[in-house]
Amino acid sequence: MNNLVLFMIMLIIAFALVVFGAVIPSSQIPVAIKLLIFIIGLMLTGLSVLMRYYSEFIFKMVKQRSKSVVLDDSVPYYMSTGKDAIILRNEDEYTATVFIKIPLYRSSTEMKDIEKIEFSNLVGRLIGQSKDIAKYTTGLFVLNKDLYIQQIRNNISEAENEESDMNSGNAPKEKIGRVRGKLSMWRNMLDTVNSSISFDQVSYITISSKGTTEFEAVSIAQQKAKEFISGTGTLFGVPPTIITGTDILKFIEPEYQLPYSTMAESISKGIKEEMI
Amino acid sequence: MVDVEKLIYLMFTLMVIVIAFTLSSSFKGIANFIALIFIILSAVMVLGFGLGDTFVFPILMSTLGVTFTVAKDNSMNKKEDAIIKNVGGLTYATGFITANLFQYTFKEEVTQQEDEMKLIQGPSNWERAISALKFPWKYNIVSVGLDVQKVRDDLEGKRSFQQFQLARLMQSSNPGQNAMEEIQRNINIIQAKMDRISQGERPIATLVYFETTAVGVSEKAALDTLESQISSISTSFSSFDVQLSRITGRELYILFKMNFSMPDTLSKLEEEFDKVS
Repeated sequence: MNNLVLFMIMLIIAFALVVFGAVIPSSQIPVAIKLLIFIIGLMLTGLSVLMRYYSEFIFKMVKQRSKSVVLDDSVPYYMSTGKDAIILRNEDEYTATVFIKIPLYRSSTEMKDIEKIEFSNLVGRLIGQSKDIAKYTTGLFVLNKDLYIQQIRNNISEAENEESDMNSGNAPKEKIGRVRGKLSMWRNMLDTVNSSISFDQVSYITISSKGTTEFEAVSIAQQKAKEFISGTGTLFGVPPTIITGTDILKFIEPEYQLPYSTMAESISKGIKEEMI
Repeated sequence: MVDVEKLIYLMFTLMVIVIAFTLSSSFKGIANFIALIFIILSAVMVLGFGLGDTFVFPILMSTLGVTFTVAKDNSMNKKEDAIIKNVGGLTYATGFITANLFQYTFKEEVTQQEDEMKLIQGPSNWERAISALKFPWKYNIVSVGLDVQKVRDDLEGKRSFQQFQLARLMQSSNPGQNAMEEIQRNINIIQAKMDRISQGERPIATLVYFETTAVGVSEKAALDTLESQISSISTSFSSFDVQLSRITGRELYILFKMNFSMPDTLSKLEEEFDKVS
């Protein structure tokens, strides 16, 4: 039910209870009951304001009668068949969300005053380019070193196995020394990779469209995206592109904005340093 | 800022409280006293929930120890100011801050030189502010184009009203100089907005906010890091003419959902979020 309708219904009930509690003659019901009806009406008045925005929260709290209230426990989206949008399904309505990357890397240090004015105006025009709702984002993302870190870890593990085999097989000392040197090199490399987190600045536009089928929603979103690509490309002279596949996850999931292995290594290095 | 729509709802609700106060005289003695106490309590409830629900509701839920799961693997923390996600032993905490950088209220009054100076300083100020942020963050501007004709009609209506007030004031026997200047200032602002629309500028409504994510080995560690990241953002952007406020409760839930899908109309955005300007 619409929050506004709910608010009005509750307010009318509250008003009726307040008036009923106050005007009904004491000869018909005891004063205590009258007062109780009056107070319930008053409390409903206070709650009606809350219902304007929190009906979803309150209904689920009452229904679940638990301190851990589940508003939604489903995966909020799934990837479209073409892997170029994410889809949110709400009963028979589909919402497709498309992400457009703007490859814009300009710094004010290399601009003259007139270029700064022009750039500021372009940003203003970018934001006001369409009548449709759009989200313009610029942000800093941790550079994903997960694959690189995994590769180094595999190399360390291989070198450790080699060293262990050589130790048990009575291999020449020079060979063991060489393997130990390799192991030390990979360990140092892992240490260097983890010594600082590298960042990547990305700017992108998010747009959504609704449809009765997934295909319809994606088609409309893609059509809108083309308009945004054309507008943004003309403004800044850069080729914006639609983001596809798992690259989309970087913009919506925290573990892709801060890649898991990169962060885990960095945290464990921090802990080791604190212990030392 | 409290919008007109919100004030109308409050007015309706407070009317019930006023009627209750009028009718409370039907209770005598101790019953009257109890009725008055509950009238005051409900008035406080109405004003608290109506004007500061985003602060009051999280405090209430935090006191009751209630937590909300907002999606699979995602939940709000007890203070309802961050979204928590656990991935393989690491905890990610995401917080939001509204940051409307475009305080256009008096922009129409500034001279062209002042305007140009702001445009020149903008990119450098921005780079200086973000260069201090050595952690992941996102700066989001949700924008929607408004109906040009509708905005123009609204502005014309407002200008006519101000001109009518000015004329009435000038006809009065003792027109106040300050009041006249104030009305003239309002007319200039409205006229400047109309001129900008006539020059082809599209009127837009915006919602501007920062999002930052912190990671830790526990929820507490992640939340502590998040707090320090949010303080850094506030410090970096303190030199801008910007109002920064932490997003809590239902607005946090709405912004979280907006990562996956955007509302399709302005009315829906305004209905869900108070801070659209």
